[in-house]
Amino acid sequence: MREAFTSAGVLISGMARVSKAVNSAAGAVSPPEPEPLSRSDLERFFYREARLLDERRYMEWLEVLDQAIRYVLLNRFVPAAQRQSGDEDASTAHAIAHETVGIGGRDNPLRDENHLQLLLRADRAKKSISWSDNPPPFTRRFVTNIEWLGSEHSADGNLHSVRSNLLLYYHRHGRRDAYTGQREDQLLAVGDSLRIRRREVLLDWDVITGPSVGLFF
Amino acid sequence: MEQLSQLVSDDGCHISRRVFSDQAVYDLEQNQIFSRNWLFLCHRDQVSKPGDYFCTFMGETPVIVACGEDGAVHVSINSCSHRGLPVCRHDQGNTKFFVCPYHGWTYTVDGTLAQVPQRRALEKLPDFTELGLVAVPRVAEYEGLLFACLDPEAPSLDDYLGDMKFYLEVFLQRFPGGIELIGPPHKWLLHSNWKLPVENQLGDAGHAPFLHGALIGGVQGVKEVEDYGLTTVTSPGHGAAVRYMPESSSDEQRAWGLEGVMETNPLLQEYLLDVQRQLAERLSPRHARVKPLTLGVYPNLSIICSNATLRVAHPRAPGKVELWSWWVAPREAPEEVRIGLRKQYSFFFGPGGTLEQEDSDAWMQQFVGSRIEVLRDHPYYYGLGSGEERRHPDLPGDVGSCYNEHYARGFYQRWRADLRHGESL
Ligand code: FES
Ligand SMILES: [Fe+2]
Repeated sequence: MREAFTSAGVLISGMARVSKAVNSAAGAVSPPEPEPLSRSDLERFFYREARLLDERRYMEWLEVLDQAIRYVLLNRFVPAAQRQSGDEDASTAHAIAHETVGIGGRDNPLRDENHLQLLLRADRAKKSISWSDNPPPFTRRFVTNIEWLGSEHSADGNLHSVRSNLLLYYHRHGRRDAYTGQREDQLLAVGDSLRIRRREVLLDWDVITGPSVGLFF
Repeated sequence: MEQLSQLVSDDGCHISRRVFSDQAVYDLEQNQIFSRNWLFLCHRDQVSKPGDYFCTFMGETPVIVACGEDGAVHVSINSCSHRGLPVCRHDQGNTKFFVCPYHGWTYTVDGTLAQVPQRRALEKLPDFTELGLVAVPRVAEYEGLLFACLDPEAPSLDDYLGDMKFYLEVFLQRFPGGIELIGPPHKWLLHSNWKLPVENQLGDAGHAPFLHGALIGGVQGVKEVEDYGLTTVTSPGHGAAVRYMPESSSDEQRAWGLEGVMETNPLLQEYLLDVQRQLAERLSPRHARVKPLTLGVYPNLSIICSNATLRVAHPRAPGKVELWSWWVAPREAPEEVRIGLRKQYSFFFGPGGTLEQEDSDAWMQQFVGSRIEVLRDHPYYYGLGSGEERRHPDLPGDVGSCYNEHYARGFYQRWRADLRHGESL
């Protein structure tokens, strides 16, 4: 149903390569190739982000987001295996892309939000009559398996494509829940800091068993 | 099982907590509610071509909805006639055959047994015609929505929907090109009893300014609900919460979704306004004045019109319900309009919705309250507005004010009557 998901990072780095080739072919002076982000840069960024959320500092978390952010939670289901004749390879017949639903006008992501909607969520959570957040849940986010996939120049700065895994422990009303998923981010480098320009989250559920996926992942 | 009248009082004003928490009540529901009434399955679009199938549930019974080689819709119980395994293990797809994993018995999509591989070493074969998947006897379609019923004696779907069709038309026929359900549906498990979300979406306007105060407190739309809101109950236990706009109201005031369009999206607003302008002519002046909030088809189908979504509640246990919801899109609307409407759905409802977050919290906590053993003789009070509902000059059903709880009384009275069929007392 959805081709671009697993290859999105590859696509971006591919695009950067292509545009470089085009530039040098035309003899133009191309801007220097963006530096890869180091593992420690990325860890510092993601760990702080996770801590802001676990400490319920949602308004501060908003500052980590780019104004033009697109924040997506993909829908996932159990499709029939899509075997081409003679193709028994699990990585194609059972490609995760077949299980995920896109974000076009005929698709239904779980969430597809912009900065305003994230702001509304953050603003709501701090109100005393926001009954799903008062009392607030205890959460703990663990970010692992960070992979820098590539980067490209954009008008606003260098855009880095980064994949990470998230484990979110959630406790409220005596229940314990764990959310796991993969995040594919586009991080915009602005001066010394990074801003999230795009986040696409793929949770590991067909039937969601956590109390809500209206959280910040 | 105790007397049913102790579970639901004759006037519907008192409902025992055990209605939501008792295993024996739950078991009786499987036979008396989910095996006797028409249940929503999916949209015809989802099984439009031969071989298309969609797996769902009728109560706890797993079923395969499929389009056969004959082009007709067949609904079969997803359990092998040999030793019971589900023969289909995917949510949806297209196939010629379902092959049971255990011994390889093979069925066509309409449920006919086609192959028993053990025949190779056997002299006699059983009668295949008796060993197909068990077919659900009644299948019918209304406005593209597919329903099925396990009871061969049930009235027709048309009679079953009855007066509710007027309210359904307002939503399902609103757009000139019709609607489509965008799937695969969002699915999530809620730790609550299946009737609690269903009851809410039959017409509980009374909770909105309070439970959802953080999001919609002080919003103009709330006053509009108090001014023009009505709850209606049509036989047998269906319900609709609508705003019936005054004859003098403008298209702007009536246009569906305008009150909730959260972003300035001029294209979306113009589209909705355009649809509204044609409505009196396309449907009727009465339809055009109805601004629907929620619609509920007994027992477990709910439509949240104001947020473009349709959902079904599949019971899993007294304290577990799986909710499946689709985004409902106008079939012919341009992409930008569609995506604007999608935000109306997924920001507010569905597993990641903000209003849903608050509702889910309330429904989970309600189940906790329903299990308090020492309160088993302290029923819940459902009597707000009792006796104030009456006939309406323009609208079908019994009609009450926006905070009249007869939408729930009607539901539980029907529910009690259904259970009584199986009552051996
Ligand atoms: S259980 Fe299905 S073939 Fe034996
Ligand atoms: Fe609600």
